[in-house]
Amino acid sequence: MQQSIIETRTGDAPAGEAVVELVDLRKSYGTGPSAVQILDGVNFEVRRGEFVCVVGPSGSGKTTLLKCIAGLLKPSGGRTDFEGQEVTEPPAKLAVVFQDYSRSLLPWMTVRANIALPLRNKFPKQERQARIDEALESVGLAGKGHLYPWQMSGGMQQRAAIARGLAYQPDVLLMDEPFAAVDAQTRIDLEDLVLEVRDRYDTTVLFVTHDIDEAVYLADRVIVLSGAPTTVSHNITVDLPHPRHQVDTKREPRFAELRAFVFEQIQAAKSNTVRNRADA
Amino acid sequence: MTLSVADSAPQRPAGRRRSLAPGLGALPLRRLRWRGAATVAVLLLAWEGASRTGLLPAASMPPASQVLSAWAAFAADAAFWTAVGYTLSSALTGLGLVVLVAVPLALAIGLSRAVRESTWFIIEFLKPIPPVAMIPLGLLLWGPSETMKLALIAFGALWPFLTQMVYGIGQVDHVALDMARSYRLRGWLTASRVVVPGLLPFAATGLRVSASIALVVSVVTELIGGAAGLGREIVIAQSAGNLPGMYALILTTGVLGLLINGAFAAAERPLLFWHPSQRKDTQA
Ligand SMILES: Nc1ncnc2c1ncn2[C@@H]1O[C@H](COP(=O)(O)OP(=O)(O)OP(=O)(O)O)[C@@H](O)[C@H]1O
Ligand SMILES: [Mg+2]
Repeated sequence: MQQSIIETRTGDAPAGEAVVELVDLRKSYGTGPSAVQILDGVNFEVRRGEFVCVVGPSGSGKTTLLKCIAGLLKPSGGRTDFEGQEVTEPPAKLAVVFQDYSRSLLPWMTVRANIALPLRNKFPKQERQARIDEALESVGLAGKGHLYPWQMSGGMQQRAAIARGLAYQPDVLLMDEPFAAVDAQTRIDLEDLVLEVRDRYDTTVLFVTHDIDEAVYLADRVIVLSGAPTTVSHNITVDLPHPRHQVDTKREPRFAELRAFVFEQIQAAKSNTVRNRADA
Repeated sequence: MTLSVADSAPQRPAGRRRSLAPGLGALPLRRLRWRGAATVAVLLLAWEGASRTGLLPAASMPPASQVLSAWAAFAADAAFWTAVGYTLSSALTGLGLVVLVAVPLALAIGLSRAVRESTWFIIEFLKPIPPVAMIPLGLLLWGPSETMKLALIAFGALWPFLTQMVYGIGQVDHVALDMARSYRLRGWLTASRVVVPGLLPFAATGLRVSASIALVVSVVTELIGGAAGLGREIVIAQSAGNLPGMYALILTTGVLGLLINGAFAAAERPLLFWHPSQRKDTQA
């Protein structure tokens, strides 16, 4: 059936340098008999310049996965590598855009100061200002740096959080459902914005989302997670042409095919989770 | 949650998302002034009338006009200002002691489960003891001295500030901390830009409540314990039969309380401009 037209890869190493590599990553919360296994041997890699989306049922451990990659959580088994080095603390060349922008931006600082904070001790003052201006401009917030986060709309706040990540100029940008809390129109704008700045900054992006359309639209590759305990159920190459276009890309039959395939896999994962829970 | 040191749930100085029901400090100042002044004037007139018509026994409650003129006479009296100075400086020094003790203590309680669990009982035990009940002990230890006064003020005013600080430390935002860690912010940057500003609203609420208690305990230790200050002057005026003077002194303590509250509210505004309880939520 669809497997024949969708190329899913399980194992064969792709060409190109892996910047993020997950090797049999395991994570459980709690200890002793109350321990719950969330990640149960997750394997995949992200190559330089790639845009990879991770989708999976709610509670499958996507945030947990991202935190392990970011060095914010210690895996309970296996490992994650960043640029060939095992991650034991947050890597310097990695930035995270958190889902909850209203809490990750500090309300007592202007947007400019928020963006400047991670740049201290990293760049000289002159360069800092230039980077902030450029980042603000590329997310469409030029001239808005003097505002406080609470003086901005939700979409603007999320742009500010993205600008903070961009100004830091990481090699890899991790984004955890960054658009879950904004309205549909803003979401579409932000999707295109992310694709645009990805090209401009040449950043590798690992992007977690609930939204299947969003995943297929943005990604070069979609990783589908199974339900808990979680493993990678599919690793799908999105062979849609670049640059992507909200209307044209989504009108392509290939888009519909990929979308339907990912959807089915997630449904299957969900019912698996329900079955696993019932067994337990 | 962490340790609940308060009898009632700790006051939340308003989370980021929720704003407090406005306290007096949040009412528009001009309206507050007008209505407040009018109410005071009406009360003074009623007092004057009641006392003159014999509705209030003039022997124990002299007319307002006599009290006010005694008050005016105090303004030129150096002894009065000295007493005000004693009362106020003890209250503020006691408050300083509270901060010195409570900040490290709150950090220890908030960050270490062992400290939290081993201090919980003793704190819950000490908290409801009224500072007045400790005056005999204070007098035995230090006599009617400044030391006795400060010890009791610190004891009485410690709890609101400590409770708020412990609560605030438990509320430090984990997303903000993750953000700081993922960008590898240095320890001092995380402390000064992420943690301390987030604690300020809690500290401000706690400090304001503690300051009022410090003033009350200051006056009470003078009144009962005989330390120098407004409280002792009240006792002296009473035993000399100088009732207008006594009431003028009592009114003075009330005014001091108002001033302290106003000073703290004014100091909070520039520090907490970003907080939902202070800001006008204008979206750009
Ligand atoms: N600190 C924690 N302690 C214990 N369990 C946790 C902790 N954090 C997450 N979990 C559990 O781990 C599971 C995965 O959580 P996670 O937040 O990673 O899921 P997610 O895939 O990001 O979900 P969503 O799509 O809803 O954001 C959930 O069942 C959650 O209850
Ligand atoms: Mg999540």
